[in-house]
Amino acid sequence: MSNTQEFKIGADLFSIPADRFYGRDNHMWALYDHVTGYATIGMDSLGLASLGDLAYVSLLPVGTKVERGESLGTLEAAKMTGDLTSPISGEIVERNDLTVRNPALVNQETYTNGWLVVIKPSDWEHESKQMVSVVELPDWVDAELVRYRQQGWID
Amino acid sequence: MAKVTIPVSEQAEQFQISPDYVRISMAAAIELGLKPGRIERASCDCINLLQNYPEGCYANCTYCGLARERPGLPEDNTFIRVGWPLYSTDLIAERIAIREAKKEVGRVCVSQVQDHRANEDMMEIIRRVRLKAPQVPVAALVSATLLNEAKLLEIRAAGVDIIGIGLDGATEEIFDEARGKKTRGPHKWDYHWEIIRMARKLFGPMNVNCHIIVGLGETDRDLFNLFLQLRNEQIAGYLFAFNPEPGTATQDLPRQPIYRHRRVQLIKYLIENYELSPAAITYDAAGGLLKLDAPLAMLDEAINSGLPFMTNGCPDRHGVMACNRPYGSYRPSEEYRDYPFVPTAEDVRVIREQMCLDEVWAA
Ligand code: SF4
Ligand code: SF4
Repeated sequence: MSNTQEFKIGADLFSIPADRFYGRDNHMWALYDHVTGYATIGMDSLGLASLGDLAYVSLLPVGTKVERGESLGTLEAAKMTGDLTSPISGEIVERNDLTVRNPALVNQETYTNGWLVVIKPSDWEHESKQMVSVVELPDWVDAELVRYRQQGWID
Repeated sequence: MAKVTIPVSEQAEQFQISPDYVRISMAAAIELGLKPGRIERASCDCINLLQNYPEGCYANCTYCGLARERPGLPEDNTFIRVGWPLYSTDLIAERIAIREAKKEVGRVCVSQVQDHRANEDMMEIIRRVRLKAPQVPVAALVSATLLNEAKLLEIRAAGVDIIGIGLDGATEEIFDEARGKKTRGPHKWDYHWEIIRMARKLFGPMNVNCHIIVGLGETDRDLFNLFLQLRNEQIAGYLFAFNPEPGTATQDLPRQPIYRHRRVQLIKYLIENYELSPAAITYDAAGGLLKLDAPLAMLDEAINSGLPFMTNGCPDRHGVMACNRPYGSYRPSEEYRDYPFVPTAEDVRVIREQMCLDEVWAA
């Protein structure tokens, strides 16, 4: 199995790495660290492709407890706004203020320096099973591309 | 005033100049698939293009991110640079043609800046667009200072059906302060009006429009008198909400309160569509709106339609407003200033709250 799922929108190539889990509808990724037991959270490149360049990012403060599906902050692209939806439940233990100061980092370094928060999960075992894992990745990406195109969110 | 230095990342754009390259509004770039993204609650039906030269613009309008002597920010992070990406003109023309084949493009608008190459280059940009997309209606948003009758005729012969003119200031005084002699800029109020009227004669009723910025220090009386004058001359007036652009001379000038913008939008609509008489409006000593004397049925009909609060802009080939400039003068997270779509009943409820019309309505 390839380490990264790649897809094209127009002439642009995007990737979705297989080393992490993805929120089925919200296109947030979670990378679990088995040593610390913490999960780093960001937004994936298909979600970002449909939003465009982010202009503003706000994140809830460290110490905030969030439930899966709740907002952990907000985003604003050039012509739209939205919530950053948490793909898991837990407590925010770190936030990436670099992305607040420079939201372009989320678009440019999506899976590395463009992370948003670190969460101490309250139920990783159970909730990670409800996310998209490496096995489902190719089919999920294909289906999401169809859904996004039908919605007119990408070309 | 210091000249703005261009960051390294943007230096290539100094050499990508019109007519071979042109800037495009972010909404239009998204619509044509040149930039990723979505537009909340709206689509963008007008492809707004803007000439690109290394100096930006040789004029010096106090509120504009392209002005020659704008103070600038350390990184020159102006809206116009962030929000108007640069592409080759031929690529944009191709995308317009591809789009036309799938779904009509409402309109293309080519904007001039003040530059000695601007007339010739505008003709070339229009030629390239029309070569690929001959049916698409084209407007020219011109710099009046560069034009005369012969040039207007040339523009018309190139297939342009609508002329837009950035008057921006509602009175001569405001114009001089924001764009004219007080800014050491080249623009003159009287010459702007000469060109507006000449264009009106050549292009026909309602095929010429003046852009008017609301919030540059003008009074309500100034605006309403201008709307009445434009109505009488069958020239369209298109409102723009002042939104201070970082790095410009007016970056600290506050935006007008929303209630004022709503009232201005409503009264403009009543003047244009219900022939509201000047006698129906009374002013305080400072020229601010004191009382509006209009029948309730008229107000309800106008307000409930939502139409007064929509973006003003040029129509498509079927007469439907195309140039809706979504989120052009406010952020998508902010309250709408002008709606790039017909406001819903819920939007109208919000509008009514914002407008506080009871304070000025004389029943
Ligand atoms: S002429 Fe137009 S582009 Fe040039 S500075 Fe004035 S408003 Fe800006
Ligand atoms: S309203 Fe829009 S299309 Fe018309 S001249 Fe102005 S910017 Fe151009």
